[in-house]
Amino acid sequence: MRGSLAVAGIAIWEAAVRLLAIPDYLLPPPSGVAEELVVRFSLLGRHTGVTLGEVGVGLAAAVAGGFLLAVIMAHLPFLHRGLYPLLAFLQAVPKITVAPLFVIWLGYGLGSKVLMVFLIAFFPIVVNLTTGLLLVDPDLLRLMRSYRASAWQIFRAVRFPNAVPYFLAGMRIAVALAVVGAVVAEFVGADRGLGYLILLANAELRTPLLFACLVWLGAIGVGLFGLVHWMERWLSPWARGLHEPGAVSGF
Amino acid sequence: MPAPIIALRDLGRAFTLDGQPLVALSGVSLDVYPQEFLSIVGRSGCGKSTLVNIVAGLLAPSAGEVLVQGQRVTEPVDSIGMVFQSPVLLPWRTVLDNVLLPVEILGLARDPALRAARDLLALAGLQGFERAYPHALSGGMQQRVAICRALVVDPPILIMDEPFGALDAMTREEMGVELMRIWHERRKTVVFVTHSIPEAVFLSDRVAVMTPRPGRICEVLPIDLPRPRTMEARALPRFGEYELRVRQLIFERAHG
Amino acid sequence: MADRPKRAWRLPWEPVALAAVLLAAWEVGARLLAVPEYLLPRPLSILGSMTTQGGRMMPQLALTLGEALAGFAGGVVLGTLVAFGLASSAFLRRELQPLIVFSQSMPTAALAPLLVVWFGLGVAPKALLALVLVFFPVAANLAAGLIQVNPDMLRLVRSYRATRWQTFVKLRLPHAVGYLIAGMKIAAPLALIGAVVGEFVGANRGIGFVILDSAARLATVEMLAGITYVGLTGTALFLAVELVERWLGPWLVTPR
Repeated sequence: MRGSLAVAGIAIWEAAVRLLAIPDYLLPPPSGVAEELVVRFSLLGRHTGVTLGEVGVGLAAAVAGGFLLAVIMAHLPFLHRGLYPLLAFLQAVPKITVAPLFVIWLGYGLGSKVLMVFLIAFFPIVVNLTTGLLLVDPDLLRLMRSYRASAWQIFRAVRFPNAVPYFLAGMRIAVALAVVGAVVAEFVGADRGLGYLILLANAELRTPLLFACLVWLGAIGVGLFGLVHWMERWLSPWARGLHEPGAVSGF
Repeated sequence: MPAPIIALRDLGRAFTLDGQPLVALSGVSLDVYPQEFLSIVGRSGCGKSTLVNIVAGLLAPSAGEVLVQGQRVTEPVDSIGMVFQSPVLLPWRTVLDNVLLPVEILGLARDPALRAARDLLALAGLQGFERAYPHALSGGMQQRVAICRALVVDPPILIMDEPFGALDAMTREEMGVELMRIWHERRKTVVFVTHSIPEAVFLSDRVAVMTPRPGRICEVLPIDLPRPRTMEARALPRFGEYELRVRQLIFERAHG
Repeated sequence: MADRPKRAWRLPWEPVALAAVLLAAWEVGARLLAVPEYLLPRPLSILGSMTTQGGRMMPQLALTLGEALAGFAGGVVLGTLVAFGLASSAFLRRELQPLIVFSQSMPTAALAPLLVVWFGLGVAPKALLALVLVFFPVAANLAAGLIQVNPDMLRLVRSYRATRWQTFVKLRLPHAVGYLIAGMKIAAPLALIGAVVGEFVGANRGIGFVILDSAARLATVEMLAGITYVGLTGTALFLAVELVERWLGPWLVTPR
C-alpha cells in the first residue's frame, strides 16, 4: 500500500516519544506538532504570510531583473562574453553569507529579506535564461535569416519559446534557494517571519512550535514547486516528453 | 539443403499500446541455413527489430516458436552474438576490455579469449587501438569494436540489427565492404536487419522482405551475385534487377 | 580517425577585464560619492582587512572548514547508503519519494536551531547541518546514476545472461561514478554553507561567528573580508571536485 512506510514512521515516532517519555522540548510527538498547528494557526499564518511575501517579491524581482539582463546579454555578444562567465562563476560562490550586510543596510524589516531572496534567486534564473535564449538550433536561425527576419521577430518566434524549458529549470532551483534565503536572512535579523518564529520558539524551548514552523516551511516549498509545475504545463505544453536540458545550479 | 540453423515457426507477437492491442508480428516463418548471410529488409516499424529480439531470446513470442540449432529459444543463448545500431561500448573501459566484456560475464577462460580478442581487433583494422577509450574513436570504429565483441566468444550465429544505421552514407558503404572481408575470414551465419535495399542486396545470399501491419515475411529472394562482393558488383545489371524486385515488393505491399 | 586534439585552456580576457572594470568603478565611485565605509566598504579596504585580519580569521575559517568537511564526509557516506537502497528496492523508491520531495522543498538550513537544541553550541550541530545539506544531492544524483542506465547497455548485458550482481558491478556502478561526482560538486559548497549558517544561529567561534560579530559592531569592512574568505573557500571546494572530475577523465558518464 502506498504511503505505508510514512504512516509506519509516524506511528513509531509517536509511540517512541510516549514510551520513552521524551520531553517535549527535545522531541515532540507528531500529535503535539499537529496540536500546535491547529492551536497556533493564526500565529503561524501571519508569519508564514510574511515569509511568503518576502519570497514572492524577491522572486518576482529576480525574474524581472534576470529576464532583462538575459535578453540584453543575448543580443550583445561582447557583454555576454564578459558578463556571463562572471555570473556563472558567482553562482558557485556562497551568497547567503552576505545576509548580515543587508541587515545593516535595510534593518530588521522586510527589505533585507527581499534583497537576499533577490540576490540568491537572480543567478540561476539569469544564467539558465541566457543559455536558453542563445542555445537555439543553428538550422532554425538559418531558416529565420533566410526570411530576413529582424532580431525582434527571431526573439519572439524562436528564442523566447526555446528558452522556456531552461527558464523553468532555473526557476525550480531559484524557488528552492529563495525559501532558504528568506529563512536564513530572518535568522540573521528580523522581527517577523517563520525564521524569526523558529528562533523565538528555539529560545523559549518551544520545540513543538518549531516543528510546526518547519511543516509550514515545507508547505511553502511544496506550494512553490507546484506553482512552477503549473507554469510548465501552461507555458510549454509542447515540451512534455522532451528531456530536460542540463540546468546550471548553485547556491 | 542442410538443416536450418535457425527455424522460425509461425511466430507472432502482440503488444498493448495505450490500452489498444498492437499486432507487431503474425505468422512469421523463416529458415536460416548455416553460414549463409541473410538480410531482413523492410520499412521502419514493420517489426524487424521485434523479430530479431525474439530470435535472440530477448523477447518472448506471443505465438509460435524459434528453434536455434534444434533447441527452443526462451532466453538469450550463447550461440548468438548481437550487434545493435548503437555500438554501446562502455565508456569507462578500453577497447580491449570492451571486447572482453562477454568473456567476463559468461565466466570463460581469459587467456585464450585475450588472444582471440587481439586477433579480431587486428582483423578489423583496429590494431594499436587496444588501449584507447571509446570516446576517442569515430562511429565506424566503435561499431567495428562492437562487431569484435560479438565475435570474441566465437558464436556460430551473428544477429546485426541495423548496425550501420547511425553512420553517414559513405562510411556505411565502407563498413559493408569491411563486414564482407571479416565475414570471409570468419564464416558465421549472419542475420542482418536493415532498411537499406542496396545494402541488403549487396551483402546477402538471400534477402527476406518484410511488410508491416502485421509484420510478416512476404518473400525471400535468393541473390546470385559473385563472391567476394566488391564495389563493382553494385554496377552489375543483375544488382539493379534485384533491387527493383525488392522495391516492388515493399512499395506495392505498402498498405497491407 | 585521429585522437581529438587537446585544446590548451586559455584564460578568457573579457570576464577578467569586466570584473576589473567593475571593481575599479566600485572603488572610485565609493570614494567620489564619499560613501561611509560602514555602509559600503571599498574593494581595496576589504583586501586590506583580509591581510591585516588574516591572522585572526584564518583559524576561525579553518574551524568552519573542518565542520564542513566532516559534514561532507558523513553526508557522502549516508547518501551513498541511501542511494544503494533506493537503487535496489522499488518499494523504497515508491515510499521514500514523497518524503524526498517534501524535504527538498523545506529549506533544510532551517533545521539549524533544532540541531542547536539537540547538540548544543559546539561543532556538532554545524557538522550535522552540513551533513544534511550534502546528503540530498549526493543521494539523488547517485541513485539516478545507478538506476538510469542506457537501456541499450542493459539489453547488451542481458544478451549475455548477466546476473543482477554482474549488471550492478560491471554496468551500474561505473556508470554511477560520474553522477556521484556531479552530486559532490553541488554538495561541496553546500557543506560550507551548512557550517556557516549553523554558526549564524548559535556559536562563539568559526568564520560565521566572526561575520556576525563584525556586523554587530558595524565593522562592515571586516565583515566583508570574512565573507570574501568564505566565498573563496566555497569556490575552492567546488574547483577541487571539478579537478577530480577532469582527472578521472572524459570516459566519465555525466548526467545530461
